[in-house]
Amino acid sequence: MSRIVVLLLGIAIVLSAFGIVTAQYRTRSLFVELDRAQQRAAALDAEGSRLRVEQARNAQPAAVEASARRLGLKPIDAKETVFLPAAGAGERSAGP
Amino acid sequence: MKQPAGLRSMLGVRAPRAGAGRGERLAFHANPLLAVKVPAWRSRLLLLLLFCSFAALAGRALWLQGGGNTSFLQRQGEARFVRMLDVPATRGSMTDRNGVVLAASLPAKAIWASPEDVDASAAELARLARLLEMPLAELKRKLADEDKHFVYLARQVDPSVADRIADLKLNGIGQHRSFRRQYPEGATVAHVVGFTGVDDKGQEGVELALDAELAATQGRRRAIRDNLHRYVEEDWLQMPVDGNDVALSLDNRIQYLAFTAVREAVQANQAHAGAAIVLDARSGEVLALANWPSFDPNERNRRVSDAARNRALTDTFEPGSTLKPFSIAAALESGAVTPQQTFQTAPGSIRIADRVIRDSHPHGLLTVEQIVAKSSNVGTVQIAMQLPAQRLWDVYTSAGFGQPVRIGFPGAAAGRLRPARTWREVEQATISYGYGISVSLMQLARAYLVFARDGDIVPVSLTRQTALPASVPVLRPETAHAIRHMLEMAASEEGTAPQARISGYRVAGKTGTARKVIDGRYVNEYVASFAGFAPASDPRIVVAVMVDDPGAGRYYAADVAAPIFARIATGSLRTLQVAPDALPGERDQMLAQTERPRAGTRGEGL
Repeated sequence: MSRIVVLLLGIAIVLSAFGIVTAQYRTRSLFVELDRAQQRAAALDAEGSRLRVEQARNAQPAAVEASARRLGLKPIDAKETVFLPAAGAGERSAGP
Repeated sequence: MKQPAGLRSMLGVRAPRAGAGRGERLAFHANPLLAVKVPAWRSRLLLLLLFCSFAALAGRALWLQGGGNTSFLQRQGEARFVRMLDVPATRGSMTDRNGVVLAASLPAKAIWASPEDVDASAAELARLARLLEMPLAELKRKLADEDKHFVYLARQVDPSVADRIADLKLNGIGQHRSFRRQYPEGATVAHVVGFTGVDDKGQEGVELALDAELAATQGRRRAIRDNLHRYVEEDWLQMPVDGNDVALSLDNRIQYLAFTAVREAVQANQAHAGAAIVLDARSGEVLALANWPSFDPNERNRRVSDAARNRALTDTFEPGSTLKPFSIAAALESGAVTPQQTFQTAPGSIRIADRVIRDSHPHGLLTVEQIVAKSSNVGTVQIAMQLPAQRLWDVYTSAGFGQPVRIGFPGAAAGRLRPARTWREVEQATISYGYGISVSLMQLARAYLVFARDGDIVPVSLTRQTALPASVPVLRPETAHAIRHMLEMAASEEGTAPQARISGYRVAGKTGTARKVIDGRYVNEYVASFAGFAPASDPRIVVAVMVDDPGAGRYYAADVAAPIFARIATGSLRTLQVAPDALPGERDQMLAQTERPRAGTRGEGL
């Protein structure tokens, strides 16, 4: 009787030992994946801020103005603007 | 079984001697020759020795694991598979009020060398120097000191360049990750944003003022590496914390307008310097703060200290006539005068103590309104001398003069406003028209909030605000409205600065042309300033402009500073989409219809 118990316990020990090894292995490989994903996230983050800076650089008012002048545009002037009275606020912004 | 003789001899079994047996064969193991008699103690001794050896091994193992001093072994073990890794964290970025990036950190590489390990050939060194954009001699000098184990060759190198350096595969040259701060708007907003040093710490401007907010905390982790050099386990000692992003109150379009207006005016007038500030009249937020000369914060070696100074905040000047409205406001507030009261300013000069104060042109009989509009020194002095000095001082002080503007910016100047009890009679007279007192442009802009609002003042701010700030009353609303009307007259055909007018909107403002004080003496150099706001019917922005030492022949603020105001105000109101309050052709009509503080009391001949 007790022999059978010992045998079963022995088998259980071996099985759980294998389990631990497998779990450890899976933990590590998942961690490797996580680490890679995090590095990728960091790289994408960096790329994102690089693009934001590039966008800001290209959208600089100075750059916009230069292109506008190349196209022959000029700043708007109230003299050449038709103002429509807004409902309720018409009497002041549009005048009679 | 018969065995061949050869095999027998191989097995070492001799042929049985004659007589040992009569033809019968012995089993091998039963061969009596093999039956050696071993004493029992020998096997016991061997067993004991083996046991002792194993016990010694086990004891040693236990000792190494747990007993005595194990740190050496642990260190050695860790050195083989544990790595301490610095995890970079990014400094917060800075944006304008609409989210446009003004400063951001991008990844870069720092290139270092271990001089004792460098064995590159001359050609390789030349290539390295070219990639680092560094003279070969300097590179050689850095590598010459062989005692050093570590020397930075370059920091904040672009990652693509760093990759090419890595491709050279030079011994003793290494790199690690760092950041490089980028300022896409460049010189336009350089004075506000400031810049950081190589160590990523703020050195000027908001980068310095809000360093604690922006700064990142580098992380550190302990990682275990397997035989494939992959990290398989980690243990955070310090989590990396990215810096917080900061949204400034600036609007980069208005900032650009102000910057170009100031730059072009300084260049056209051959002036020493210039500055302009645009404030949101409702929230007190700084929409633009521009200085010229400026610098490009992206270029580290071109940061000349003179150009890097934020004059609008750190430099003070005697304001001259831009201070007059505050003196008149003090008189109106105390009931000493009314807007329509007249004063005789002929013959254009007045004697106070031993000093004669003059107007640039004699004006004759003027109302209080006209005294402001035409900027009469004599009239202002006549009014101001009716008041106790303390009353003037109270108004100046509550408008913020004499104390640094609390804007959280390094080096904000307080200006000079002496206590009223120390004023001599002539000083009270000169201070009332802006001499003998010094202010910064930011103080002036903030003080004009009093007239642009209903007599109250709010704190100014360089960061975007979500709620309207609490305001502090300075003047009664009626007084503020009366002054607002006078300032509108000043910026009209009948005033000193018609150049400040803009199409579509009513504007109000005051010029100031004051001689500079250098080493305590007035010199023949001028500061031309203009402070005003628009639209006059419901002010949305306050604009203050200063030009230091215009040298192209014209130095009157009306010619030098007022046009800058007009240009900045036009663009700002359009950018903010403020509805026009004076349409072209209807302007005069609109002026006549304005909500005057006291309708029907307007004097004749205005």
